[in-house]
Amino acid sequence: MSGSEINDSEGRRLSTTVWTALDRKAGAVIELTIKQLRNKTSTWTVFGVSTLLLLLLSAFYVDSVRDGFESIDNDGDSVDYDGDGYPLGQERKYGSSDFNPDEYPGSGLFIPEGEIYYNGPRSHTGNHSWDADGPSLFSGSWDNILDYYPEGDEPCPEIIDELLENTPYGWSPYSCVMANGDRYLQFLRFDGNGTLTVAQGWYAIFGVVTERFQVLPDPPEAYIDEDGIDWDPNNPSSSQGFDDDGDCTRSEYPEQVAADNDDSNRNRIPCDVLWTRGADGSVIQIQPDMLVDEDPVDSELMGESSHRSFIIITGKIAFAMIIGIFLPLFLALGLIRDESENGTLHYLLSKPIHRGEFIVYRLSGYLIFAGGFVLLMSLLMALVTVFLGPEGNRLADFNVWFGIGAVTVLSLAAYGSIFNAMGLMSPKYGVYLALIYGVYEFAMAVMTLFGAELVPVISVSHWSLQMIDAVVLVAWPDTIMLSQMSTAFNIDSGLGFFWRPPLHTFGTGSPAFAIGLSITVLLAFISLPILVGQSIFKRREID
Amino acid sequence: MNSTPAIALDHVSKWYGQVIGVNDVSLAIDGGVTGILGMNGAGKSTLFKLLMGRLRPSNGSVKLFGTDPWETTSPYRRVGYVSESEKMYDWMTSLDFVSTLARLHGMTRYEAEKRAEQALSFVDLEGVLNKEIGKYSKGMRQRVKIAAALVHDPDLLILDEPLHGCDPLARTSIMNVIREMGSKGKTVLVSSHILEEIERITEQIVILHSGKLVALGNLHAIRAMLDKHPHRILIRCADSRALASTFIDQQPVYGVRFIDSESLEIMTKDLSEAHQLLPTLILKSGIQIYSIENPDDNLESLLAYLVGDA
Amino acid sequence: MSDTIEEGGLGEADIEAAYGSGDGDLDTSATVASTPKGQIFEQIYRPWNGPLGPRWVRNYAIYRHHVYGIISGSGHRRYHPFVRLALLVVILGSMTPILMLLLSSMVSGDATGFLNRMWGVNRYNLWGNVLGYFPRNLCMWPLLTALVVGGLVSDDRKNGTSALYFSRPISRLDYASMKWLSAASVLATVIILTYMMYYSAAIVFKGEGWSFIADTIPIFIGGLVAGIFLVFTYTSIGIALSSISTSRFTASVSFLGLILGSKIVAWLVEIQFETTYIYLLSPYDCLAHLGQWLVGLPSNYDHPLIMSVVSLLAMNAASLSIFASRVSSLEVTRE
Repeated sequence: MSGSEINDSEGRRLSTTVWTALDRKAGAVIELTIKQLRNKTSTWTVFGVSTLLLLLLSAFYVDSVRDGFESIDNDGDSVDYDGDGYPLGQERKYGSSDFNPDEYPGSGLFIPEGEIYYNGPRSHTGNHSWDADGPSLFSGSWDNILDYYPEGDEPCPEIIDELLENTPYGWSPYSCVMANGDRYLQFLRFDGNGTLTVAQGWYAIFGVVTERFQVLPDPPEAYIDEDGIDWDPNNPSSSQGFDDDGDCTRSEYPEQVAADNDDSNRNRIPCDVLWTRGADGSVIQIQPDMLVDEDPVDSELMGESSHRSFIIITGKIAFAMIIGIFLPLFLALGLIRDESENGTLHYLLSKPIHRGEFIVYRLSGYLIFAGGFVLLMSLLMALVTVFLGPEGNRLADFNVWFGIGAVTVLSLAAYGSIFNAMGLMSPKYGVYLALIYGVYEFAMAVMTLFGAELVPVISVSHWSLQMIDAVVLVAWPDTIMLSQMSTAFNIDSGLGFFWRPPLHTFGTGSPAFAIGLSITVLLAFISLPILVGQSIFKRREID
Repeated sequence: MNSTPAIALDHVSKWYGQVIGVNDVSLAIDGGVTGILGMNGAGKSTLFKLLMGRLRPSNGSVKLFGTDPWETTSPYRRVGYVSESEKMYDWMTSLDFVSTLARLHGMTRYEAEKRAEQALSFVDLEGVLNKEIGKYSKGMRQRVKIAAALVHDPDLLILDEPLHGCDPLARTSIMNVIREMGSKGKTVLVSSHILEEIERITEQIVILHSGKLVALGNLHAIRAMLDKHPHRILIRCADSRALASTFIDQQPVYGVRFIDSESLEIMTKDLSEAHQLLPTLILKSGIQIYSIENPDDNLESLLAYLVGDA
Repeated sequence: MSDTIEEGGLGEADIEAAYGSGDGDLDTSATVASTPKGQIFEQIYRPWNGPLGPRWVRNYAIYRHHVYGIISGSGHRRYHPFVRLALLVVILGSMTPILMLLLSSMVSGDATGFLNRMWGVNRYNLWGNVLGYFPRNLCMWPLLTALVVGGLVSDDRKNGTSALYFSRPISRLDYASMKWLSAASVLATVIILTYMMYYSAAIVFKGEGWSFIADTIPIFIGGLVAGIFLVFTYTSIGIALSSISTSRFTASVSFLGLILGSKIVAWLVEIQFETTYIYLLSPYDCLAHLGQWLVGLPSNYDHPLIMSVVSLLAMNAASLSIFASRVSSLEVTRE
């Protein structure tokens, strides 16, 4: 550079090397970019709307924290579906159906012993409880009708013959006395000692009815939080858990009914919970047998997992999806395109700056501005959740929020460079390209939220969402356990849905690996469009 | 200054699709102020854009200090460019604008601000440094652009229509700046479509017409050529017939035409000689003169003459 | 400026100038004629004293400018081939059920009626053809609206073509309503027409009789009304955004952000905090709520329908009043 040497404000000589000059040029372009963005109304509109969104979510969060977590009936067994006065939980214990008002604890259960099958012998003799389906004749001592229909002692109409050929089949219970003293009946259950003959093509079963006894109905409240998680972290055994309310062990079943206790987790121990631990001792899978520990005390467990799921959902939806996609759409697309549209690009390009360099500086300026906003917002959200969150060491929250901020900044960079490249590719219609791409990314993000693993792989949002999953796992290693607990024990915190262990770990299961892979992919998403953009831009004539 | 000229064009052509912007121009310029003259659409701006690496020549080679400006940005260190575009960052102050552009040359913020202040006071804008450019008049904006082009003390200054749309005061001020730059030994290129503007700045001119280089050299030489060309002098006076009688027997005059009783057109083949005679003859006749005009003394007729000859 | 106005019809060039064909997209390469110095460019708005064409002819000219451009290029708003392609994909995408119906009527081995149950006419499918979230209201309708509505008003503002309109005998009401109508009719063509085609295709391909029609027509009409509400609301919101933004792009992105963002945030709040009231802020969900009632589906929302309807009306009223106030403040000169 010609001209006199100029000293800086403190009188030092300014050394000018290639590197310092590069640095200063970068500084100038970045500063210009930030000033430009600061001067756009749309920037502040987007920032304002984003802030409002986060305020709204925080308000909901604060409200839910203040309310605390009321106990809810996680397994839905406090409801009396059939209206017989006994809640489902009580009926389960006694093995009676909650969809049949005539079956209730102590009502006596019909236990089949044999049947008159459609195409087998047409009659059977014995002292049983009978359940006749279609038109039948019964001869013998008639005891009492078990259900449905009052005693019917009127004589049968003439049309009913003893061969059961011309009977007016109806679908309702009916009984009458034939001329010879036998009984004609259909759709009836009764006790009797004698012979039952069933019409061709119909069916009946016979068996015994268990003892009847008096059981007082439990109040529905007794079936809320009635079966807590029985787990001792210090007990190395994988089989733990206890069926406190007895609906798996079927504690009150009548003797005649085989108590075939559930072993859904197939560890050959009925009515327990299988806690599988990983190599490092942390719980990685929980498989309960049906109806074991299924209704835990919510206030103890909901707090932490719904706190986490709030952070994860906010991170994924508000930060990565909404701010992450729409902020770049507003701010990044015009970084160079607007300059050439406005005819001010030549001021900057008639200076000794390589055009590729220029793209990188512009993007950096945008990233510092937008990224600064995102990091500030994540810090604010961190403060809200750390101070209002449940008891315990909340410092890890800062790490998660920082991770969410960093992921969002990465996706801002990726979208920024993609949209900017689209603006360069087609100055007039790049906007539409970017719109369609934005919608695509949004749809891919929704698919990823719902657990799609393969389809959304070619999208920025997929990798940023997976990175949030991984960051969460690094900061809170017991999230797998909490998530497993919410699925296993019906805790409705959303954690099981919105958080999944990172998908792409190539079998290692390591969250650090997933973070590394996500960063690599996102960096590729950042740098490829820059390369493409600069090779287009380099050949562009600036008219 | 080394031996490579500041500007060297070698058989440069540029066409946009079917339209030719610059047609086979070869040119080397180094030192001093050079005026590029041409009508609108003659290819002045295209030529400058080629020099600034904004356009790629369709044919031939463009060299700025011996380097191709399309391929590399290094010659821009020594070039200041004022484009014809009137778009600027209206929300910026002129100090901000000029110092930002200075920083793109690798200056520190402090150095850039100092230089920007110097450059802006050089173009007489020191009073409004901290006003937004959007509030400036057209002449002020033009001077801000010039300051931005001067801020890094370039060896070559390219000004595309710097006087366009400026008021007379601004024009004088800009012309002074350009002359001063020339006197400092810089190479300055100024384009215009108005002959008299260029005349007031420099003698060295290049004339473009339809993308072609039609004349190149000293304005006086070109003028002299022009003077031999039939010329008209339009005089408005109180009594045209009486005035005509004093002219009719003079050597350079070969014809007189009456437009009306107060207007007279004199035809001559030697304009300078005719103008030398004019004052004495008018004084002698004692007729009141309202105005004297040279309707042919403009770029159009110059071009018509040059192109017609070619 | 010439003092005499030439008699005779307007050439294509005049119309292009008047209606700003190309939307200023070609601005970058346009040469601006420079005014010789010393001469002031005078703008004279001269009242036209000659005979005027009927009002509807003038209005129709505004209307068709945006609509015809989708099909034919010259003389109308220019839609980039890429935009046209995107619109085509949206139309084809919304007609896939028709294809599936055709398939199910041709496949004889479909004993279980799987295709028919999946794609045939029922309440869920009729509702879904207009108001289903994925893919229609996630990918298709908002994108369609954003593409159509983007530069509708903002381009006039930016390029100064509004001055060309208002220096002619066109009232602002005409201008606004024609702009609105042109966007609405493109949307209606895609959304409502494909819905009707779907229903008629089901009748034709399956050879259904009067009883089928009698059974399903109330549901169909319910869906149709829901579709009209959808078109109305999306157009109003979109055009309001277009009228307040300075570039077509800002308008489009704002629209997408509003529709997609409000929906997903409301969903977030529902999942996490178990309230559906926040859906009142989402235009899509208000429409879906109303649509569910119109078609006779069980509602997905806990809040009463009337709140969604009120919110929907408020959204439309707000959008239209923004649009109206922005049009009335449109400059006659270039901004």
